[in-house]
Amino acid sequence: MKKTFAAMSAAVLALSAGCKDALNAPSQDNIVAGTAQPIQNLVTGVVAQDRASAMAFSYLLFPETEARNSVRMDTNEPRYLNEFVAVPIDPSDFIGGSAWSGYYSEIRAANQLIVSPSLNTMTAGDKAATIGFVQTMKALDYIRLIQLRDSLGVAIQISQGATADPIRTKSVVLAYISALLDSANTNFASASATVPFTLPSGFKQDGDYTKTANLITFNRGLKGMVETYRGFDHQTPCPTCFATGITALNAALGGASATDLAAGPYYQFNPSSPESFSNPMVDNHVYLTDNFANSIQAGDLRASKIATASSPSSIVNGVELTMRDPVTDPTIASNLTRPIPIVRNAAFYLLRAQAKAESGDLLGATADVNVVRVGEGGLAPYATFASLPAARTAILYEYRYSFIYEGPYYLIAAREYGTITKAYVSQAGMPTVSTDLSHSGDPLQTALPMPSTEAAARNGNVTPQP
Amino acid sequence: MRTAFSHPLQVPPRFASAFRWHRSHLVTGLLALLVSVTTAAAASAQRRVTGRVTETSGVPVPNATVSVQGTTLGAITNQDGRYAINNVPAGQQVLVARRIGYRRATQLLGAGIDVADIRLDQDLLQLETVVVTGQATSVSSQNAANAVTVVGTGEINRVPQPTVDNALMGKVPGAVITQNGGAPGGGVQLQIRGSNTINGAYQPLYVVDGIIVNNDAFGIGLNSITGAGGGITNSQDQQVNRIADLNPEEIESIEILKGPSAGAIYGSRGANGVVIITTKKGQAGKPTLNFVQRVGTQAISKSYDMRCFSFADAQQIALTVYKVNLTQADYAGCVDEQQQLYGHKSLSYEDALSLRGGNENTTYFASGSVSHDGGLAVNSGYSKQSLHLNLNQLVGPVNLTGTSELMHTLTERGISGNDNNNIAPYTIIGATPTWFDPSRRDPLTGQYVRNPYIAGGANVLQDQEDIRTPEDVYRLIGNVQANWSVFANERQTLNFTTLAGVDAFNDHAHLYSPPNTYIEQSHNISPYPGTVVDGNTDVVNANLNASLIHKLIARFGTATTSLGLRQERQQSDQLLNQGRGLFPGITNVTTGVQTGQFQAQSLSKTFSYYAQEELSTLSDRLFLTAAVNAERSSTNGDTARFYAFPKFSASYNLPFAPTGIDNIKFRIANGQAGNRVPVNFKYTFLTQVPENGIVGLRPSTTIGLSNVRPEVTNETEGGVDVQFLHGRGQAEFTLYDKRTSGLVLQASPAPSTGFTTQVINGGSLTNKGAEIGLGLVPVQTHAFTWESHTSYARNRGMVTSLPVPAFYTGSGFGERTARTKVQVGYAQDEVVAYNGFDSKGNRIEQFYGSESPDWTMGFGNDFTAGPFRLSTLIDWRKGGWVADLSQTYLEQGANGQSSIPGGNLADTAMNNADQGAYAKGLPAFLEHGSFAKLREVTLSYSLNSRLTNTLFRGTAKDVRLELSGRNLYTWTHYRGLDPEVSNFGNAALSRMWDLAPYPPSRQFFFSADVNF
Repeated sequence: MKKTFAAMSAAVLALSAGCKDALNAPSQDNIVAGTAQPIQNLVTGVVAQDRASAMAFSYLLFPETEARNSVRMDTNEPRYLNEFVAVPIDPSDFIGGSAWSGYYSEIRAANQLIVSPSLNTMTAGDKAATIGFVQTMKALDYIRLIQLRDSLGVAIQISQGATADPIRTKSVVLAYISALLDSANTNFASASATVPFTLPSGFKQDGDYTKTANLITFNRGLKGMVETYRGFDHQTPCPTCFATGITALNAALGGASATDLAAGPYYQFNPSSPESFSNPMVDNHVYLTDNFANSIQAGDLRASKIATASSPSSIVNGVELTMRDPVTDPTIASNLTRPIPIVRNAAFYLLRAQAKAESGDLLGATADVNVVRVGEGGLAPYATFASLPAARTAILYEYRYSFIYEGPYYLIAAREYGTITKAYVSQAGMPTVSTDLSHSGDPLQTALPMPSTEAAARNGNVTPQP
Repeated sequence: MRTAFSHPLQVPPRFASAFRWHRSHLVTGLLALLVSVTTAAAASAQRRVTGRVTETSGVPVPNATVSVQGTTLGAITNQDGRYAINNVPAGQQVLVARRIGYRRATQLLGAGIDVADIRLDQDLLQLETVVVTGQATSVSSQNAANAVTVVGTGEINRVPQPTVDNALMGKVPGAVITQNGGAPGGGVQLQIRGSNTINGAYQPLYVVDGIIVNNDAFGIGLNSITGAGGGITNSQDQQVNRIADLNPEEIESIEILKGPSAGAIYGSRGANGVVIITTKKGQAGKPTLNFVQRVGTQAISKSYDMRCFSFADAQQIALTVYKVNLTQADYAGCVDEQQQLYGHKSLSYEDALSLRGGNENTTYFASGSVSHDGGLAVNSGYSKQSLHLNLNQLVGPVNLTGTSELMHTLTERGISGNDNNNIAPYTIIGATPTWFDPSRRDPLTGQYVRNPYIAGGANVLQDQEDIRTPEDVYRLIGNVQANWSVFANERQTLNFTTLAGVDAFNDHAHLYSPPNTYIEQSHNISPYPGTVVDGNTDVVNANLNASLIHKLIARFGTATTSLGLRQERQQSDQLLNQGRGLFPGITNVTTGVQTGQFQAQSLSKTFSYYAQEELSTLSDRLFLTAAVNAERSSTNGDTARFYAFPKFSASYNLPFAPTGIDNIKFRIANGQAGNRVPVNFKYTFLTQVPENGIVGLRPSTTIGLSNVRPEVTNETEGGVDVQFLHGRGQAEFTLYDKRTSGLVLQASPAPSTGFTTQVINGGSLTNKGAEIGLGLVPVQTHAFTWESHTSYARNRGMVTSLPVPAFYTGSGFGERTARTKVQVGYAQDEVVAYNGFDSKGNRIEQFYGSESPDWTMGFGNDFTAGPFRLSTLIDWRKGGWVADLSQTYLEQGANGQSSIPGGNLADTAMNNADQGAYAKGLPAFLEHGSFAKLREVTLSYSLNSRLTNTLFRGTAKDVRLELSGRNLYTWTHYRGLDPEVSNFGNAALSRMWDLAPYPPSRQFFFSADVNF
């Protein structure tokens, strides 16, 4: 019996020993937050997430579809067409729910970086440069959020964790962005001459935006953009904001003499692993509408953006398109790595032209419009605009043909001018806005809806708070 | 002896005091147990009793257990049915004879009598099976406190089954089984008594010969060419749940513990039920060689009725809709593309050879099988080879058992399901008018002609022939078990059992889409024509169990005490390499112009103690069980903390019964089991976002929960079992109430927080239901027997509390079609969809009800007349919602791309009505999924001995020939191919998606089963 129990004891001991192995079993993916991470990685995280959020159809294409300049004609996914016409955009699907969480993910990353303990290891100048840069990128995200949601408002992320902050009105959000950009600018004022981290190559694509001096122009340009938006805010008009905007844009452009319209930071693309991020507009299904193709003025150099496609689009809901911008052609290999501007000087000129025109400075507005019209369109300059409507029409035209697939510039200008209905140009076979449904309050899709996930998490309460 | 149990078990300091209590009681219990062993009186006058166990007809019954009631004495009959029991106490005794398949018989053994022959009656209704109660204990179903379903090898293999999960369809009351589609090789998911979870594991635990095995599903990278979702692979890859690797031919029985009240002993993995699979074992006796050969084929069980066009209409539509100038030469009339693609009449076969035998010290079972399940389409199919070996050797007091199952499966399932690149068959078929003939060849290239009616020009036959999707799995499930009879006398036994096992497999997938297909050339898939994905997944599960079982037979009854521990380790590593831009014929990933990778790794470890006490008393009429499993896991927030899962149960057989009733048993059971926290839910990661050669880090969009704990499901089950008509009738009635609390939710915070998912412990849900079973032998004569089984099950789930606002869960395609919304007061799998607009133009969200069926029923009937036997199984499912996106694909092409006025299906009025309703914001494609299916039919014929001798010259004992069929007919109003399919089957909820699946088939087989 002694042998028996000795053997049993040995067995139990052996089994218990076999169970000594610690249960903590992190996998490869376990990079737990909370510990100090190198600033370089955190900055790259912000920048890369910014690219992931903005360089998508939701920012580059959907506004063009809302404005009926371009449509993705995918027979396998006709929602790229039919979600934008006839019925309200479904807030629960990939179109209505897009362009939201990605920006807030980057804002969260920026917020965490700004309070990162790793900043304390830097010199004061480097720290100021880092914070100024991150604040500017964060402001850029809020700009895009409000560009795409407009009067629905957006939340300003203040709280930590999963606590939701209220949805704020457009005017509150714009004021917040403006102040944020000013704060960043203040930080840049005491910053080192060059940011203390490596930025993607696109920041040196046309101008060196790793230098603080150039980042200040970038920052001021965004400030000018926001102030111009505030000036046009129909709900809470801010007549003085145009002047503030002009001042900021002057700082961005270095006066009226700058002619490098392409200058600005860019997104760069690399289809190879592990980055695997190609230019998102390279897509076999993206076509231009006939109206866009046919409305360009004779002699406009930007007609190079309009070419007959090698084959017509698929027919979706009876619509067939035949023209495309060659930059979307997947058979042109260089398209995959073609940089896209984050924002460039030409936009600042047109924004300043808007602000000047609304301020009554038609002469100044004409000059700014002509910088783009001549510089990019190769067209004869306008004589001084005789009226505000004439200026607006000219500005819309320049936005439409200079900024296709660069962001919602044209849509926003049309929205600001109250001429959005004119954007709903006729297109053979394309359904017109439905009249049999009772959603006359906003029958035209001029903004993406509040995502249903956001509404559900707030028990449906998404009314913007002042 | 103290030193034997004084080893400091690994307990973290904060729980040391609690565990000291546990340890001290463990030691005390063992001491008491051993003291009782050593002091038991055993000496008395003894004798040797012999005899023979036979059927009523006189046929000997081998492997029957004959025991002396009230003692531990017993023996097993040999091939001739003979037995011998030594040391039988003097005086009057009662002998009990048992064997699976027969009703238990008792016989009085008078004082001084030492010969007793016993007769056993066949147990047609399986009234006396053995069901598992613990890690190493079991009990007769007569005393079971739970409604446990046992499916024997006869039922499993009545019709040739490609996979184990297929074999369970229609045979497990309370189980809802879905499948990705009809593609060969599995892809089947099982859910028992509703979903206990929102975001956790939803499938039952699978245990093979005591080893917890892996049932995960891994993608092969199909998403790389379908673009169904993001990334190289995703859940829409038509994955196969790997329990499919098991060979049904090697299985002796499958026992299903349906919930925590039965499966609490499995701790944090028992909440969803436990499927206990026992493979075939050796038996003492002369060697028996069995050979089974099956051949069969299959046919598409349903296809869509497509619309035909006259040449004039076709020409006009081709021009106006497709801008194609259709010539008479290109007009092919009315082509049935479905038949062209899925009309492939391939051969299915199975050859299985097994050898079984042994003596009183050694038994063995060895088998090998080769099978092939031909698919409906070329280049689709499922092949399986397996080798199974079981060896049992008695070495003194130790019974050593080794079992190994080596399997190889090769699955090729082709392309099906969701598709955003116009490559999947029903995407193409739905968009292509029937006047186009894809089987035509281009006279210049010899290739199939390009399809001018769909973007990308995909020819469905070219895709199927040129694109390959093989998935090769080599798998070993093996274990070694030692059962050491430490002590035994006629009143007590003490056994020490250890079980060590491993489940290891490599899953190698190699998807290849050549660059010269129309679809690749079109750049629909990527800018670089030609795609290859080479995937390797390695999985290792290791188990170690140890149990100490003491059995004491006393005047008050029989007490069985079990103590044990179990350690489990699960590890998987999946790596997929993708290459795009290939030279024709080159399938090497590294030659791709563009390459990419995907890797997922997972490791979890679990350790548990358990204790169980069973008491059978009042002449075995009352059976009581109390057990607890204390478990800790690496996936929990606190890895040191043990979570206890207790269980209590009682069954009582009434000592009397009304006239016509044989027995009435009342039973009640209560138990808790957990649902393990998914790996990594406790962490909040930094996500890597590389750019320009630098690794960027940003907060993950998921907030983990650092102190996350497992979900706990508490189930109370009660019921009554009635046997009547002298063993020819049995009725079971069961009610259960499951309450799950501490849900591990992947809740959806407001995305404006920067987080889209937050792991939360909180909220609760219930599942309440009823199950009724009725077994009858209405006719039992020498010439004819009719055996009938009917089952009914219903389950109602409801979310009873949530710590967060209602949220949507699962995958889908927007609320215009359907979504699953988790909201208090509604079923956890509640289907919501937009249903028109209100007066302000806002969409109206309507709650439609559960995606799960209202109830299920099964009807099984066996008719035996002489050498003939006819078996049928009908599976009836009522209710449940299905989002039938396949219908939209077929009516007007995928998402309306064909644009033919009136649609593509023959019923143009239906097409127009659906499209009109959908345009008005109505859920036109949300349908009821009710059906009744003739699941299995088998007609078998047993050759008489004379003919057998003549044919096999005396070498064969018996020969059986069978004709059988699976899924032969479906009665349903459902418009799609099959309401049982799911594009998102591998999820707890939101499984209601019928999305262009591989079509289900009806299958026919001829089998010959010969015993030598």
